[in-house]
Amino acid sequence: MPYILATYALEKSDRLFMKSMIEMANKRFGLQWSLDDLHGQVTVVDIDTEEGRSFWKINSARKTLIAYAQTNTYLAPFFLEKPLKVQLVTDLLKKLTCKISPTSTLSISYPSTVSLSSQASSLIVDYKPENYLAGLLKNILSEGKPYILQLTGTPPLYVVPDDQMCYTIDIDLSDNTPTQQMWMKSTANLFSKSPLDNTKLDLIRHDFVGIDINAFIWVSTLQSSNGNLLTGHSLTNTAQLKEWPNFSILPYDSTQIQLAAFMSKNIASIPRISANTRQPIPHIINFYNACVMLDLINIEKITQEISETTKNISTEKKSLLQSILQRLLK
Amino acid sequence: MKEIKLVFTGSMGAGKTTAISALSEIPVINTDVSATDEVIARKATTTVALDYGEMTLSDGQKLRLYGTPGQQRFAYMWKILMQGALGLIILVDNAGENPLGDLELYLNHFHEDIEKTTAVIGVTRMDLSKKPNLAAYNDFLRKRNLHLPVFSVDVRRKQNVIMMVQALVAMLEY
Repeated sequence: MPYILATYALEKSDRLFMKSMIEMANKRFGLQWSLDDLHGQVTVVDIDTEEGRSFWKINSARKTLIAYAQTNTYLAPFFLEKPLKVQLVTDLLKKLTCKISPTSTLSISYPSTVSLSSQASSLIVDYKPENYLAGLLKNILSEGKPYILQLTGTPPLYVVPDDQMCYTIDIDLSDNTPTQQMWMKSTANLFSKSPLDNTKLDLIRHDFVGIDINAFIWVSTLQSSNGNLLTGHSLTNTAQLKEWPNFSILPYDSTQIQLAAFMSKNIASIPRISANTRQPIPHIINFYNACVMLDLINIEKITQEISETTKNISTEKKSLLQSILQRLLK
Repeated sequence: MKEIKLVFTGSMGAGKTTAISALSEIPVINTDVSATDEVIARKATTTVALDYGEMTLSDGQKLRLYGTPGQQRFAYMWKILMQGALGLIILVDNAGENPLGDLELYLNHFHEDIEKTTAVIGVTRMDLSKKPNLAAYNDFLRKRNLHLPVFSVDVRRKQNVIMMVQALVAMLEY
């Protein structure tokens, strides 16, 4: 029986590579897979894209999906790492063949059904923001003096606490360019930090673009957390957002809006947030850390008690709301 | 068929027309409507201006976007417009005389609607007037025990308006 792999949000080049690799796997191992744009028993979803993440959120509970990404942030049982490699594609197709046709003679090891919480717990280590740009910037803010931060191979960052700004070349932090990734993920010891002469501030304000320091702290925390919870915080603690992240200046995606909505109305632990929003724990941890770094979570309210309001909305209304979101993002 | 609508409110000059223009697939209609309310008719004929825009959803349904008349004397229209609305977007002009006072006015007037649905607050023109800041708005809401999103926005930027509607939709889900 032939099997069909559908794709969602993949780039054209990735689709072409995947098609070739499937053909190679079919020839070598007698598999019977083909690629289709729309319909298949299994769908490969590029979850490094916002479109892909939205699709994942809606469909992960009812369809067999493969997460295609640089890292398996969703702890998905079926995962394809970028960039594509023939061996990995082949192994995955074999697993899927056995899942769909259990009588298949292909030998595989099926993913274990360890609960998400315990999977996440075993992977979580302490996140120390002082080891990254986020921590450097927080320190500069509390010191109140301007500094230049320089990472080899990247433009300098002129940090001016009085302005609440980082001045640099003209960038959009939503673009997530290689330079920005270097800033956000490099360890703090790789940055040189030197005092910024006050007499040069006017020139810097004139020659460079100012970006809110909080936006840098936000993105740096999101990207350097890697699913690790802030030191001193626990998965069993409960928390509530005391105010929304200001998404007009902070890069965001639709999943973070969902998290903000739930966390502003509910006092809940991270596993509980995950269960209600159907988002993976590591992703929530990254968001949680970023909110803590911007002082958006009311720490005084963290208690052992969980208080929740659950809203039951009709399927019709849910469908309408999804339709509105799709139209907005068109 | 039940109307699907979002309502934008706020004082004059807060940016309602601009916000609706950012989303609407038709040019925003600024509607002069004769008030046919019996009480008004007994006293005088008057006109009420409101904004209208629309978006077509994938199934062909229209999402209607209404902007309330800004003048307080037309507050009776605000309630009418809110009937059956999915939610409310309140725009506050931070360069106005009393932005928090303006917000209080709309929260008071729409408090029943907000309880039934939800609201998002967009503070405009913070580039012209930095105070009150967002922390002040959030403190204001906390004192009223309201958990509503507040953003500084430039309604000339489509993405800012989209973001507010995304937040409103998310609030409706949870």
